[in-house]
Amino acid sequence: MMRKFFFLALICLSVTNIAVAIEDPWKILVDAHQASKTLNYQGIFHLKNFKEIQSMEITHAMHGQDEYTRMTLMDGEPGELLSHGKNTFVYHSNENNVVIQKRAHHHLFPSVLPSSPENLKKVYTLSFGQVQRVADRMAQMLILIPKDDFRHQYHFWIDQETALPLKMIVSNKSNEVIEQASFIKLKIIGAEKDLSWFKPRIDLSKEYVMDEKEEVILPGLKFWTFRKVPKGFSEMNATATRNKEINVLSHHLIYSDGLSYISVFIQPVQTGLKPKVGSISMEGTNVSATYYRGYQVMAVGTVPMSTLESFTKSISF
Amino acid sequence: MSEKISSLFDNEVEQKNLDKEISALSAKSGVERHWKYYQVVRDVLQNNYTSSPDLSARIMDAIDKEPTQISGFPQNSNTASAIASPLMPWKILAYGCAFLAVAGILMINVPKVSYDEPVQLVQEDIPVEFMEKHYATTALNANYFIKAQLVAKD
Repeated sequence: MMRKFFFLALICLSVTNIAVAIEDPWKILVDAHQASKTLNYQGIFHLKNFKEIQSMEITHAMHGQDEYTRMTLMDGEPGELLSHGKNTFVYHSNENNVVIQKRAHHHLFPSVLPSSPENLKKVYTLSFGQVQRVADRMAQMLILIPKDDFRHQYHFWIDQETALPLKMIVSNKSNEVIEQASFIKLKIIGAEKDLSWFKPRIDLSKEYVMDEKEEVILPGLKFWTFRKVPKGFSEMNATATRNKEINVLSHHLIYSDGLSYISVFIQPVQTGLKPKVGSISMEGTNVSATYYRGYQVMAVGTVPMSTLESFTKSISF
Repeated sequence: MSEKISSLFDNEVEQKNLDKEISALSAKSGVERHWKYYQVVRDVLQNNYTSSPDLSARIMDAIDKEPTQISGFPQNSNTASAIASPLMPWKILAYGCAFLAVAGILMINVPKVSYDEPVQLVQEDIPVEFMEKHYATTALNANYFIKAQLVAKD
């Protein structure tokens, strides 16, 4: 009797494993990207960065072919994000006014996954974890382990019903949590016809001011090269800002492997100011600074320090 | 009052009541300021926001800051013959003035950078400005909002 039960259990286990093996985890990541962009949903999620936890309310909807997102910070000083297609604006309240900033893009949870997993395949291995309950929904855990020491590991919990990412954990080699985002409440909604929610909360006791910068896109004006860019990272964006005081340009480059982001700043050091050198870790964010031929070169990112040093130590011009 | 202004901007007020609503709002103090805020918010949402009202002054200011173009002009036959002709004293003076002007502009635009400044450890003076810029473009978490908070003009 016991032997029969054992064989039956073994067969059941094998069938489950085969079913999991047949499903490609990379396809689930693609589905998760699609779900975060195309589904209509409302919810609240917690964001944990190092030791600080904040709550965010999100409403996301497709209206025709257009994607609309509104995010509201629920803790601390009020902050809102309104995103329509490629146009993203942040409204941030302080004591006297509301500052409106235009942003090029955002990578906020749950829209953190790239549209194509091809680059991720080169630098991470992906495996299935357990099925767990998140925000009262069943979710499949996916684990991305880096193949090298240039990036952190990622855990995603993907909703079994809709493929929407419900939870994400970024952790380092020692399994210390660096960032975490997790829905605590989620409602999938039908086709959205009413867009009356897509506006900021107006506080007439404050002045609304637009934060305008003299920022220009400067392709082709790069005078530097990096001898050693870590594998999988490629330049996603490059902007230049005119420094009013000395009338020269400060450059900001963004590199990514699809999940991790690195900023590299290159700007001339004004006479009388001391350039910064060395490295520092602050709440999961690392900074590596160097001084090269009159320029301050600084790399910032939620990646291991060695990744940032690849940039600061290999620049030449 | 704010709902009425909002309704006006959202075209939710019936045409027949439009004059009445505008007149009523105009009679109240502080409406002009609030009207301006709604205008900014609406223009931003519709991606129509251009700049502050003194746009022409800002453009002229930006032009003033641009480095002067000192090369790249096509050479035509008139220019060639002018260069080939004997130099008159006033031409020498004009060339001299032009040279000094170009040299002056170059001196203004050359980065005032130093190659042998004493350095400072990044731990002693945390580069908040760089971290803010990084968060404002790449953060996956609530740090994304930090930039707007720190540049706020009080």
